[in-house]
Amino acid sequence: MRSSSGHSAGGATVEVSELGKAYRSVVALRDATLSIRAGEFVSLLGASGSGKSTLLKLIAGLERVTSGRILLGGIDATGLPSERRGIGMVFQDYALFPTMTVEGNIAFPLRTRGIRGEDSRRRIARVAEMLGLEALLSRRPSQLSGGQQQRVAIARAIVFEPQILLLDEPLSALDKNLREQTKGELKALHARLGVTIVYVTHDQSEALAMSNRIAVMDHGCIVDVDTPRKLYARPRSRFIAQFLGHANLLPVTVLERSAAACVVDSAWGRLPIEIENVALEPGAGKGARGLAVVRPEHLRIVDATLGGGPHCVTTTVSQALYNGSETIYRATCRASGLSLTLMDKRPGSRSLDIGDEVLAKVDPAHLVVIPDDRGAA
Amino acid sequence: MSPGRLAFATVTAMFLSLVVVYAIAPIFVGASVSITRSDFLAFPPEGFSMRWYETLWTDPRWRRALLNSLIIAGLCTIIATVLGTITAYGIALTSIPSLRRALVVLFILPLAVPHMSLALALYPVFAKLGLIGTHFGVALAQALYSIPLVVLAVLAVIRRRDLQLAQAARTLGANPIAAFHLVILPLLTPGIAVGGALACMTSFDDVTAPIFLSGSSAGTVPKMMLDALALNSDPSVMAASTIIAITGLTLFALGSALSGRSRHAGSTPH
Amino acid sequence: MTQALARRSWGPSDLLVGNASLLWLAPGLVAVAILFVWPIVQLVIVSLNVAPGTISPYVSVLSEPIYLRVISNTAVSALGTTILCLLIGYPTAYAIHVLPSPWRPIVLSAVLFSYAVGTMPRAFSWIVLLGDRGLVNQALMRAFKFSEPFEMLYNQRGVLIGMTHVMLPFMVLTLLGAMARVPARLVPAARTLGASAFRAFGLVFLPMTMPGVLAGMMMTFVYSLGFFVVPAVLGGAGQTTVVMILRDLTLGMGRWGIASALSITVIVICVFGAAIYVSLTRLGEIEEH
Repeated sequence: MRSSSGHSAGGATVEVSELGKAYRSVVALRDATLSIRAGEFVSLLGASGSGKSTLLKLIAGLERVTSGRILLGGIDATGLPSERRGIGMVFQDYALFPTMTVEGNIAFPLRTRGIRGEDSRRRIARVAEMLGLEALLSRRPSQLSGGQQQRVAIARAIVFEPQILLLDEPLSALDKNLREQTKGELKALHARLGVTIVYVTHDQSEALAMSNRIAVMDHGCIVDVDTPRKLYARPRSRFIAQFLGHANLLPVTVLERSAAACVVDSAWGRLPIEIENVALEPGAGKGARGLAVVRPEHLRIVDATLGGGPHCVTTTVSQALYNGSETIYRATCRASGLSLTLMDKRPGSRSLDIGDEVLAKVDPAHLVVIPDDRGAA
Repeated sequence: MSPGRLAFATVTAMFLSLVVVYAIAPIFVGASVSITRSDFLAFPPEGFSMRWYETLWTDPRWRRALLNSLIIAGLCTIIATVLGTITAYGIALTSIPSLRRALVVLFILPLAVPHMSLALALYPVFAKLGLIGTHFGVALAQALYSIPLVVLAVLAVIRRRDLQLAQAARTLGANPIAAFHLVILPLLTPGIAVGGALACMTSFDDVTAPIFLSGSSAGTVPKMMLDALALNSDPSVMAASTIIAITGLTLFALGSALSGRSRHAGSTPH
Repeated sequence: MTQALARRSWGPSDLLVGNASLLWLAPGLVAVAILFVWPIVQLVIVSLNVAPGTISPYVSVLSEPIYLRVISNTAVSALGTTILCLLIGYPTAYAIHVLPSPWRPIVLSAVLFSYAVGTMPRAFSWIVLLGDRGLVNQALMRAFKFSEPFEMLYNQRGVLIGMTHVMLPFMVLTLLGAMARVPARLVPAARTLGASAFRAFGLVFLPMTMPGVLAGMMMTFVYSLGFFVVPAVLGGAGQTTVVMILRDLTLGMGRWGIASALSITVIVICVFGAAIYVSLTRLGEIEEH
């Protein structure tokens, strides 16, 4: 079977079709379908047990598929053993070979492909320069810091120019500052190599920062796949809304709904919602219940004495968490008893104390209405 | 110290001294008899002479037994070490715990069964295969008793993390055999060294397999010792005995030294 | 500089069917099947094969006095060895476990030394020591003014002394392992709760080592049943063990039925004991890091 060209200059396509994995009685992955374009950076984002690592291991060929298919670069790789899939993988604990030097580790995938001597040395030098490892080549993994080990792991995974790179929570062992720095480096590396990247993480800020698209996973299923901005601004379910950033979830009732507009009743009174921001069933019309996702940054804190105008509710501050560039407040809505998360990013603004009364003003243009699944399983 | 505790300490010291003497004195006594000048197995030895060690080399029967022992021990060590190591790796790779335990029991079983019964059971099979009286036959039987020791020694050093390293090697293009040979094997050398030493000593010391399977041509030193006892006990048996003892101690020291080298110095990120 | 995905050349991976471990287990499984399972199955068949007009070997084994005596010799020696090993071994292991240098390395080295030299040297050395004019008798006669030598060779005493000597390291090491598994803080905790040293030992430490004690005793007994060298070298006619008569029965008299029946009986007892030992000591499990 001749494959349609699933390759671009640096990366290959990855297609996963109804992929499932079960270990005896436990189902780790269910019906996963995902299509990754050549050169794309896709994150698999989820909590532990969501199936993200399982999906990655199946793509890598480290576990056998229970059902479904995997296509790499258009070729059916479902039954192919790991070493023939042409993928590079960076493991969570780096998995560097302790009996070999850094150079030996990086040279390993070249050795298994029969590349030796001058050719091998050249490639190693290039990758070492790319990742700042020139001075460390003769050291052993035990003599390196965590950040250095991670870069060796990356170097080893890219030295043979794979078209697909898999990364399994590579930043989780690093401290916070190093993590921030490495995010930028990984993004730059992706731009430079043009390779297809599948990145597993439980940290939403990593996924948001680096990905072209994010596949959000929960309990073995892919819940949604979209660009970071769309997932953040228009989450389609409560799970996604709460997983990516802070979210206030407020019960609303639909008052009117048409193909052009939607109006709901809420703690702020009547609110017009843009129709693209309504993620309810088509049949859910007047009287239907839903949840409005209100992100803290879309709630303006207004001094109670100034009065707010429309779309304001009175709240009492119950908690304040200072975070340098912003302060996060919890406030209880006086009328409805709802608890809100507010964010104050304005430089130089007065800090609020517990017990202060403020008005929270909502901007309906940024509201998203999703189904209320609290009663459901 | 109170008198009671002093008494207790004294009794303990006496007891432990007796145990130590019980444990090691016999070998030294036996070794001292081997350098006697007289023709009798008596202690204390009369005079000093290395003639009984010379006899081991000059007497053709002893010399042949010695050479056979060396060849057979070599064969047994190679067979047992190779089979034991890959079996231990296979057991480690088995993901189902109950199956893994069953495999361990299966491969340990020959250890629990008396060597004589095993050698007896092998006799008809080997007779049919024409292995009676061959070095290979005796070595194979002794490998049967030794493989469990190698399996245990290697299993003791395998870490789950090593298997993950093998997985990493697979993603880097190594097929399963290359992954084992390039990544796992270097990490297993301490266990393999101990296992190999145990296999070698088991073979060198063993008399049960030669009794049934060595025929007339593959007799080993232990078998000669047993026969010599029945026929004529001169101190040459003690010379042979001391040679075996020294070999055992050397192998033990070698195995300990090779396994003492630290396993992957710091393989986890810090 | 891109490389093709999924090179199509045939490789060793194609041999893998199902679980990855099969590739590595196959040679060992074949060896066990050919060298262990098949021969023992043959033994069972031979032992059950009853020619018309004769009785089953198992019946002979369990009824004829000569075999019963041999079996009881074997059991008595094994039992005696086990008890002696426990009596000497437990305090020794405990001493290694709790005492600091210099005792700990000295006693441990002595035990390991005894194991390392092998069975043949130890058995033969005892011949020199236990004879009527051997070292032990010389010392005893001088110390206690005996008129006649104390007979320790070619009798049960000699066999027990020799077998205990050989099995002691094994018992000590097993017990040491069991003691090491007792959490180090338990005895001090018991002391702070008011227990004397003896009570702390007896009520806390000793019971926790029981599985190890049972395992050690089980394995010592089972292993002693199959002993050949020591009884052959140090024992008299009354100490003939089961495995000692196997060669004469088969190569000498051709009585394969009896020999097989005896062997299988011993094997069954040993396997049973080993299974209990493995479960009590959790042998062969794999650690994480």
